[in-house]
Amino acid sequence: MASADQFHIIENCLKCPLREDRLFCDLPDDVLKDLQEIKATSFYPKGVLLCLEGQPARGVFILCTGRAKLSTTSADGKSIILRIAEPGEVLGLTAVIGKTSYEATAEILEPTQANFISGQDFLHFLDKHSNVGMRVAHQLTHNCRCAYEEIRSLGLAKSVPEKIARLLLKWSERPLKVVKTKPTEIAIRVTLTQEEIAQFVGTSRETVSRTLGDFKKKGWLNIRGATWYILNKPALEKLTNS
Amino acid sequence: MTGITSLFSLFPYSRLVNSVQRSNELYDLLAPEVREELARYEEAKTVPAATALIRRGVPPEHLVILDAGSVEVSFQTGKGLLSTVVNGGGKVFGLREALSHMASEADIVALNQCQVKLIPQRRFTAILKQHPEIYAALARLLSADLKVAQDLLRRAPRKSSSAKPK
Repeated sequence: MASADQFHIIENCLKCPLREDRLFCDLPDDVLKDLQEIKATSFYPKGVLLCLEGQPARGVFILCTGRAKLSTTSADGKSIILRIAEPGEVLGLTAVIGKTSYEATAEILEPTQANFISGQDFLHFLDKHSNVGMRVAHQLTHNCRCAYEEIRSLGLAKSVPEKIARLLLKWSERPLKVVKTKPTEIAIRVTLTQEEIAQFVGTSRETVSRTLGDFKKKGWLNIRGATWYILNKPALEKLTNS
Repeated sequence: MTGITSLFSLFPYSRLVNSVQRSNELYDLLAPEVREELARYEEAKTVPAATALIRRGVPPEHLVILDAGSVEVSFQTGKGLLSTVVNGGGKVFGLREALSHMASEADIVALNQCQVKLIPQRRFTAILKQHPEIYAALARLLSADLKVAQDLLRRAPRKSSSAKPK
Protein backbone atom coordinates (compact mmCIF):
# COMPACT_ATOMS: atom_id res chain seq x y z
CA MET A 1 0.00 0.00 0.00
CA ALA A 2 1.30 3.40 -0.90
CA SER A 3 0.98 6.24 1.56
CA ALA A 4 0.47 9.93 0.89
CA ASP A 5 -0.02 12.56 3.55
CA GLN A 6 -0.64 9.87 6.22
CA PHE A 7 -3.41 8.49 4.05
CA HIS A 8 -3.35 4.86 3.05
CA ILE A 9 -4.16 4.44 -0.60
CA ILE A 10 -5.63 1.09 -1.60
CA GLU A 11 -4.55 0.66 -5.18
CA ASN A 12 -5.69 -2.91 -5.73
CA CYS A 13 -9.47 -3.36 -5.60
CA LEU A 14 -9.02 -7.13 -5.25
CA LYS A 15 -7.19 -6.62 -1.96
CA CYS A 16 -9.42 -3.85 -0.65
CA PRO A 17 -10.66 -4.74 2.85
CA LEU A 18 -13.71 -2.51 2.33
CA ARG A 19 -15.04 -4.09 -0.85
CA GLU A 20 -17.67 -6.24 0.85
CA ASP A 21 -19.10 -3.18 2.58
CA ARG A 22 -19.53 -1.23 -0.63
CA LEU A 23 -22.52 -1.82 -2.88
CA PHE A 24 -20.66 -1.15 -6.10
CA CYS A 25 -17.35 -2.82 -5.17
CA ASP A 26 -18.72 -6.12 -3.87
CA LEU A 27 -18.11 -7.78 -7.23
CA PRO A 28 -16.70 -11.18 -8.23
CA ASP A 29 -12.91 -11.33 -8.65
CA ASP A 30 -13.02 -11.60 -12.46
CA VAL A 31 -15.10 -8.40 -12.67
CA LEU A 32 -12.83 -6.60 -10.20
CA LYS A 33 -9.85 -7.60 -12.36
CA ASP A 34 -11.49 -5.82 -15.27
CA LEU A 35 -12.22 -2.83 -13.04
CA GLN A 36 -8.58 -2.80 -11.95
CA GLU A 37 -7.58 -2.46 -15.63
CA ILE A 38 -9.71 0.60 -16.36
CA LYS A 39 -9.59 2.66 -13.17
CA ALA A 40 -7.10 5.27 -12.04
CA THR A 41 -6.75 5.73 -8.30
CA SER A 42 -6.09 9.17 -6.84
CA PHE A 43 -6.06 10.87 -3.48
CA TYR A 44 -7.83 14.20 -3.16
CA PRO A 45 -7.50 16.71 -0.31
CA LYS A 46 -10.43 18.70 1.07
CA GLY A 47 -11.78 21.36 -1.25
CA VAL A 48 -10.91 19.70 -4.58
CA LEU A 49 -13.69 19.78 -7.19
CA LEU A 50 -14.04 16.35 -8.77
CA CYS A 51 -16.47 17.60 -11.38
CA LEU A 52 -18.39 20.76 -12.16
CA GLU A 53 -22.08 21.14 -12.94
CA GLY A 54 -22.47 21.70 -16.68
CA GLN A 55 -19.03 20.28 -17.54
CA PRO A 56 -19.17 17.58 -20.26
CA ALA A 57 -18.90 14.22 -18.50
CA ARG A 58 -15.42 12.70 -18.70
CA GLY A 59 -16.11 9.70 -16.53
CA VAL A 60 -17.28 8.42 -13.17
CA PHE A 61 -15.65 8.60 -9.75
CA ILE A 62 -15.98 5.76 -7.26
CA LEU A 63 -15.56 7.16 -3.74
CA CYS A 64 -13.37 4.58 -1.96
CA THR A 65 -13.03 6.56 1.26
CA GLY A 66 -14.02 10.09 2.23
CA ARG A 67 -17.09 12.11 1.33
CA ALA A 68 -18.08 14.70 -1.24
CA LYS A 69 -20.61 17.49 -1.26
CA LEU A 70 -22.95 17.48 -4.25
CA SER A 71 -24.37 20.86 -5.09
CA THR A 72 -26.27 22.48 -7.89
CA THR A 73 -27.71 25.86 -8.79
CA SER A 74 -31.42 26.49 -8.35
CA ALA A 75 -33.64 28.17 -10.91
CA ASP A 76 -33.22 31.45 -9.02
CA GLY A 77 -29.44 31.19 -9.02
CA LYS A 78 -28.96 30.00 -5.44
CA SER A 79 -26.49 27.29 -4.56
CA ILE A 80 -28.29 24.18 -3.28
CA ILE A 81 -26.53 21.31 -1.56
CA LEU A 82 -28.23 18.20 -2.88
CA ARG A 83 -26.65 15.71 -0.52
CA ILE A 84 -23.40 14.35 0.85
CA ALA A 85 -22.02 11.43 -1.16
CA GLU A 86 -20.70 8.65 1.06
CA PRO A 87 -17.90 6.09 0.57
CA GLY A 88 -18.80 3.46 -2.00
CA GLU A 89 -20.93 5.77 -4.13
CA VAL A 90 -20.30 6.25 -7.81
CA LEU A 91 -20.48 9.89 -8.89
CA GLY A 92 -21.27 11.06 -12.40
CA LEU A 93 -23.40 8.06 -13.38
CA THR A 94 -26.27 10.06 -14.85
CA ALA A 95 -24.01 12.19 -16.99
CA VAL A 96 -21.85 9.33 -18.27
CA ILE A 97 -24.73 6.99 -19.03
CA GLY A 98 -26.74 9.77 -20.66
CA LYS A 99 -23.63 11.16 -22.37
CA THR A 100 -24.50 14.61 -21.09
CA SER A 101 -22.86 17.09 -18.76
CA TYR A 102 -22.47 16.63 -15.01
CA GLU A 103 -25.68 17.40 -13.11
CA ALA A 104 -23.94 18.59 -9.97
CA THR A 105 -20.66 19.89 -8.67
CA ALA A 106 -18.83 17.42 -6.45
CA GLU A 107 -16.50 18.94 -3.88
CA ILE A 108 -14.31 16.83 -1.61
CA LEU A 109 -15.17 17.38 2.06
CA GLU A 110 -12.37 15.41 3.66
CA PRO A 111 -9.26 13.54 2.46
CA THR A 112 -10.64 11.12 -0.08
CA GLN A 113 -9.50 8.25 -2.26
CA ALA A 114 -11.44 7.90 -5.49
CA ASN A 115 -11.17 5.71 -8.55
CA PHE A 116 -11.75 7.44 -11.87
CA ILE A 117 -13.06 5.49 -14.88
CA SER A 118 -13.42 7.17 -18.25
CA GLY A 119 -16.96 7.33 -19.66
CA GLN A 120 -16.21 5.04 -22.59
CA ASP A 121 -14.54 2.41 -20.41
CA PHE A 122 -17.34 2.56 -17.87
CA LEU A 123 -20.08 2.06 -20.46
CA HIS A 124 -18.20 -0.92 -21.89
CA PHE A 125 -17.73 -2.31 -18.35
CA LEU A 126 -21.46 -1.83 -17.68
CA ASP A 127 -22.48 -3.68 -20.85
CA LYS A 128 -19.99 -6.50 -20.32
CA HIS A 129 -20.91 -7.42 -16.75
CA SER A 130 -24.55 -7.81 -15.76
CA ASN A 131 -23.71 -7.65 -12.05
CA VAL A 132 -22.24 -4.19 -12.63
CA GLY A 133 -25.49 -3.19 -14.32
CA MET A 134 -27.39 -4.52 -11.33
CA ARG A 135 -25.34 -2.46 -8.85
CA VAL A 136 -25.57 0.66 -10.97
CA ALA A 137 -29.34 0.21 -11.34
CA HIS A 138 -29.71 -0.19 -7.58
CA GLN A 139 -27.59 2.87 -6.85
CA LEU A 140 -29.62 4.93 -9.32
CA THR A 141 -32.82 3.66 -7.74
CA HIS A 142 -31.49 4.75 -4.35
CA ASN A 143 -30.41 8.13 -5.71
CA CYS A 144 -33.83 8.67 -7.29
CA ARG A 145 -35.52 7.80 -4.02
CA CYS A 146 -33.27 10.27 -2.15
CA ALA A 147 -34.06 12.99 -4.70
CA TYR A 148 -37.81 12.38 -4.47
CA GLU A 149 -37.61 12.25 -0.67
CA GLU A 150 -35.87 15.61 -0.77
CA ILE A 151 -38.56 16.97 -3.11
CA ARG A 152 -41.26 15.61 -0.81
CA SER A 153 -39.72 17.13 2.30
CA LEU A 154 -39.27 20.58 0.78
CA GLY A 155 -41.32 22.96 2.82
CA LEU A 156 -42.40 20.30 5.30
CA ALA A 157 -40.13 21.62 8.03
CA LYS A 158 -41.80 24.56 9.69
CA SER A 159 -38.71 26.28 11.02
CA VAL A 160 -34.96 26.41 10.61
CA PRO A 161 -34.41 24.72 14.00
CA GLU A 162 -36.60 21.87 12.82
CA LYS A 163 -34.69 21.60 9.56
CA ILE A 164 -31.33 21.62 11.34
CA ALA A 165 -32.59 19.07 13.86
CA ARG A 166 -33.64 16.85 10.93
CA LEU A 167 -30.18 17.21 9.40
CA LEU A 168 -28.44 16.34 12.68
CA LEU A 169 -30.67 13.30 13.14
CA LYS A 170 -29.91 12.17 9.60
CA TRP A 171 -26.18 12.52 10.18
CA SER A 172 -26.50 10.68 13.49
CA GLU A 173 -27.39 7.57 11.49
CA ARG A 174 -23.65 7.38 10.70
CA PRO A 175 -22.04 8.00 14.09
CA LEU A 176 -18.28 8.20 14.57
CA LYS A 177 -17.21 4.88 16.02
CA VAL A 178 -13.68 5.85 17.00
CA VAL A 179 -14.74 8.64 19.35
CA LYS A 180 -15.59 7.63 22.92
CA THR A 181 -18.92 8.99 24.05
CA LYS A 182 -21.33 8.50 26.92
CA PRO A 183 -24.09 5.96 26.15
CA THR A 184 -26.60 8.74 25.52
CA GLU A 185 -24.29 10.80 23.28
CA ILE A 186 -23.73 10.45 19.57
CA ALA A 187 -20.55 11.77 17.96
CA ILE A 188 -20.71 12.80 14.32
CA ARG A 189 -18.18 14.31 11.96
CA VAL A 190 -19.39 17.55 10.37
CA THR A 191 -17.14 18.97 7.70
CA LEU A 192 -19.66 21.47 6.36
CA THR A 193 -19.27 25.12 7.25
CA GLN A 194 -22.21 27.05 8.70
CA GLU A 195 -22.62 28.70 5.30
CA GLU A 196 -22.93 25.25 3.69
CA ILE A 197 -25.42 24.11 6.31
CA ALA A 198 -27.39 27.25 5.48
CA GLN A 199 -27.38 26.22 1.79
CA PHE A 200 -28.53 22.77 2.80
CA VAL A 201 -31.57 23.97 4.75
CA GLY A 202 -32.35 27.11 2.77
CA THR A 203 -31.56 29.88 5.21
CA SER A 204 -28.84 32.35 6.13
CA ARG A 205 -25.54 31.59 7.86
CA GLU A 206 -26.52 33.89 10.71
CA THR A 207 -29.70 31.93 11.38
CA VAL A 208 -27.76 28.66 11.38
CA SER A 209 -25.27 30.14 13.83
CA ARG A 210 -28.04 31.39 16.11
CA THR A 211 -29.89 28.06 15.98
CA LEU A 212 -26.78 26.02 16.79
CA GLY A 213 -26.10 28.42 19.65
CA ASP A 214 -29.62 27.78 20.97
CA PHE A 215 -29.12 24.03 20.72
CA LYS A 216 -25.86 24.33 22.67
CA LYS A 217 -27.46 26.49 25.38
CA LYS A 218 -30.23 23.95 25.80
CA GLY A 219 -27.61 21.22 26.23
CA TRP A 220 -28.68 19.37 23.09
CA LEU A 221 -25.43 19.76 21.20
CA ASN A 222 -21.72 20.21 21.81
CA ILE A 223 -19.38 21.24 19.02
CA ARG A 224 -15.65 20.53 19.18
CA GLY A 225 -14.15 21.39 15.81
CA ALA A 226 -15.42 19.00 13.18
CA THR A 227 -16.66 16.56 15.82
CA TRP A 228 -20.17 17.33 17.00
CA TYR A 229 -21.80 15.59 19.94
CA ILE A 230 -25.54 15.12 19.95
CA LEU A 231 -26.29 15.16 23.66
CA ASN A 232 -30.07 15.00 23.60
CA LYS A 233 -31.38 13.09 20.61
CA PRO A 234 -34.94 12.80 22.03
CA ALA A 235 -35.16 16.60 22.22
CA LEU A 236 -34.18 16.90 18.55
CA GLU A 237 -36.68 14.20 17.64
CA LYS A 238 -39.38 15.99 19.60
CA LEU A 239 -38.59 19.22 17.76
CA THR A 240 -38.96 17.52 14.37
CA ASN A 241 -42.26 15.95 15.43
CA SER A 242 -43.75 19.11 16.93
CA MET B 1 -57.41 12.79 -5.37
CA THR B 2 -60.97 13.63 -6.34
CA GLY B 3 -62.22 12.51 -9.73
CA ILE B 4 -59.38 10.09 -10.38
CA THR B 5 -60.38 6.61 -11.41
CA SER B 6 -58.27 3.69 -10.23
CA LEU B 7 -56.87 1.89 -13.23
CA PHE B 8 -56.84 -1.50 -11.58
CA SER B 9 -60.24 -1.52 -9.97
CA LEU B 10 -62.93 0.36 -11.83
CA PHE B 11 -62.34 0.89 -15.49
CA PRO B 12 -63.63 -1.64 -18.06
CA TYR B 13 -60.63 -1.84 -20.36
CA SER B 14 -60.66 -2.45 -24.06
CA ARG B 15 -57.95 -4.62 -25.55
CA LEU B 16 -56.11 -3.22 -28.52
CA VAL B 17 -55.40 -5.82 -31.16
CA ASN B 18 -53.83 -4.17 -34.16
CA SER B 19 -52.51 -0.81 -33.07
CA VAL B 20 -50.11 -1.83 -30.31
CA GLN B 21 -46.82 0.00 -30.49
CA ARG B 22 -43.97 -2.55 -30.37
CA SER B 23 -41.26 -0.12 -29.44
CA ASN B 24 -40.68 1.62 -26.12
CA GLU B 25 -37.73 2.99 -24.17
CA LEU B 26 -37.12 -0.36 -22.44
CA TYR B 27 -37.58 -2.69 -25.40
CA ASP B 28 -35.36 -0.50 -27.56
CA LEU B 29 -32.44 -1.41 -25.29
CA LEU B 30 -33.10 -5.15 -25.09
CA ALA B 31 -32.22 -8.14 -27.23
CA PRO B 32 -35.08 -9.46 -29.41
CA GLU B 33 -35.50 -12.66 -27.39
CA VAL B 34 -35.90 -10.71 -24.12
CA ARG B 35 -38.36 -8.34 -25.78
CA GLU B 36 -40.40 -11.28 -26.98
CA GLU B 37 -40.44 -12.83 -23.55
CA LEU B 38 -41.68 -9.63 -21.94
CA ALA B 39 -44.22 -9.13 -24.71
CA ARG B 40 -45.80 -12.48 -23.82
CA TYR B 41 -47.09 -10.95 -20.59
CA GLU B 42 -48.25 -7.62 -21.98
CA GLU B 43 -51.82 -6.55 -21.59
CA ALA B 44 -52.80 -3.65 -23.85
CA LYS B 45 -55.48 -1.26 -22.68
CA THR B 46 -57.06 2.07 -23.45
CA VAL B 47 -57.74 4.21 -20.40
CA PRO B 48 -59.68 7.49 -20.17
CA ALA B 49 -58.44 10.82 -18.89
CA ALA B 50 -58.04 11.06 -15.09
CA THR B 51 -57.17 7.38 -14.70
CA ALA B 52 -54.56 6.82 -12.00
CA LEU B 53 -51.95 4.57 -13.58
CA ILE B 54 -49.70 4.50 -10.52
CA ARG B 55 -50.58 5.78 -7.06
CA ARG B 56 -48.18 7.41 -4.64
CA GLY B 57 -47.56 5.27 -1.54
CA VAL B 58 -48.74 2.07 -3.22
CA PRO B 59 -46.38 -0.56 -4.67
CA PRO B 60 -47.46 -0.85 -8.33
CA GLU B 61 -48.50 -4.28 -9.47
CA HIS B 62 -47.52 -3.63 -13.08
CA LEU B 63 -44.94 -1.96 -15.24
CA VAL B 64 -46.85 0.59 -17.27
CA ILE B 65 -45.73 1.24 -20.83
CA LEU B 66 -47.27 4.43 -22.19
CA ASP B 67 -47.80 3.93 -25.92
CA ALA B 68 -49.93 6.97 -26.67
CA GLY B 69 -51.43 9.87 -24.78
CA SER B 70 -50.11 12.11 -22.02
CA VAL B 71 -49.73 11.60 -18.29
CA GLU B 72 -49.02 13.90 -15.40
CA VAL B 73 -46.37 12.76 -12.93
CA SER B 74 -46.85 14.58 -9.63
CA PHE B 75 -45.15 14.58 -6.27
CA GLN B 76 -46.57 15.84 -3.01
CA THR B 77 -44.29 18.35 -1.33
CA GLY B 78 -44.76 20.45 1.74
CA LYS B 79 -45.82 23.27 -0.55
CA GLY B 80 -48.29 21.37 -2.68
CA LEU B 81 -48.02 19.32 -5.83
CA LEU B 82 -44.97 19.47 -8.04
CA SER B 83 -45.73 17.98 -11.43
CA THR B 84 -44.40 17.32 -14.87
CA VAL B 85 -46.11 16.10 -18.03
CA VAL B 86 -44.92 13.10 -20.03
CA ASN B 87 -46.17 12.57 -23.56
CA GLY B 88 -46.56 8.98 -24.87
CA GLY B 89 -43.90 7.60 -27.12
CA GLY B 90 -42.95 4.52 -25.11
CA LYS B 91 -42.17 5.82 -21.62
CA VAL B 92 -42.08 3.01 -19.03
CA PHE B 93 -43.21 3.58 -15.43
CA GLY B 94 -42.71 1.38 -12.38
CA LEU B 95 -39.14 0.25 -13.05
CA ARG B 96 -37.67 1.68 -9.84
CA GLU B 97 -40.41 0.09 -7.81
CA ALA B 98 -39.76 -3.24 -9.53
CA LEU B 99 -36.13 -3.07 -8.42
CA SER B 100 -36.68 -1.74 -4.93
CA HIS B 101 -39.98 -3.51 -4.19
CA MET B 102 -41.12 -0.25 -2.62
CA ALA B 103 -44.08 2.04 -3.05
CA SER B 104 -44.15 4.72 -5.70
CA GLU B 105 -43.19 8.28 -4.78
CA ALA B 106 -45.39 9.75 -7.49
CA ASP B 107 -48.94 9.77 -8.76
CA ILE B 108 -49.10 9.08 -12.48
CA VAL B 109 -52.43 10.10 -13.96
CA ALA B 110 -53.68 10.08 -17.55
CA LEU B 111 -54.31 13.59 -18.84
CA ASN B 112 -56.24 12.33 -21.85
CA GLN B 113 -57.19 8.97 -23.32
CA CYS B 114 -54.04 6.84 -23.19
CA GLN B 115 -52.98 3.59 -24.76
CA VAL B 116 -50.91 1.59 -22.31
CA LYS B 117 -49.44 -1.87 -21.95
CA LEU B 118 -49.21 -3.50 -18.55
CA ILE B 119 -46.67 -6.14 -17.52
CA PRO B 120 -47.11 -7.74 -14.08
CA GLN B 121 -44.21 -6.79 -11.78
CA ARG B 122 -43.71 -10.40 -10.67
CA ARG B 123 -43.32 -11.52 -14.29
CA PHE B 124 -40.86 -8.73 -14.95
CA THR B 125 -38.84 -9.63 -11.85
CA ALA B 126 -38.74 -13.28 -12.90
CA ILE B 127 -37.52 -12.37 -16.39
CA LEU B 128 -34.92 -10.04 -14.85
CA LYS B 129 -33.52 -12.99 -12.90
CA GLN B 130 -33.30 -15.06 -16.08
CA HIS B 131 -31.78 -12.22 -18.11
CA PRO B 132 -29.59 -10.08 -15.83
CA GLU B 133 -28.32 -8.23 -18.91
CA ILE B 134 -31.57 -6.24 -18.60
CA TYR B 135 -29.92 -4.37 -15.70
CA ALA B 136 -27.69 -2.42 -18.08
CA ALA B 137 -30.80 -1.19 -19.89
CA LEU B 138 -32.46 -0.37 -16.58
CA ALA B 139 -29.40 1.63 -15.54
CA ARG B 140 -29.78 3.76 -18.67
CA LEU B 141 -33.47 4.39 -18.04
CA LEU B 142 -33.04 5.06 -14.33
CA SER B 143 -30.28 7.48 -15.15
CA ALA B 144 -32.74 9.48 -17.25
CA ASP B 145 -35.32 9.29 -14.42
CA LEU B 146 -32.78 10.62 -11.96
CA LYS B 147 -32.10 13.54 -14.26
CA VAL B 148 -35.83 14.36 -14.22
CA ALA B 149 -35.84 14.17 -10.40
CA GLN B 150 -32.82 16.44 -10.17
CA ASP B 151 -34.44 18.94 -12.52
CA LEU B 152 -37.57 18.91 -10.35
CA LEU B 153 -35.45 19.47 -7.27
CA ARG B 154 -33.75 22.39 -8.92
CA ARG B 155 -37.13 23.93 -9.84
CA ALA B 156 -38.76 23.26 -6.49
CA PRO B 157 -39.53 26.37 -4.45
CA ARG B 158 -37.58 26.68 -1.21
CA LYS B 159 -38.62 28.37 1.95
CA SER B 160 -36.32 30.00 4.43
CA SER B 161 -37.37 30.72 7.94
CA SER B 162 -35.63 32.12 10.97
CA ALA B 163 -38.00 30.93 13.64
CA LYS B 164 -36.38 30.02 16.94
CA PRO B 165 -36.85 26.67 18.65
CA LYS B 166 -39.54 26.50 21.24
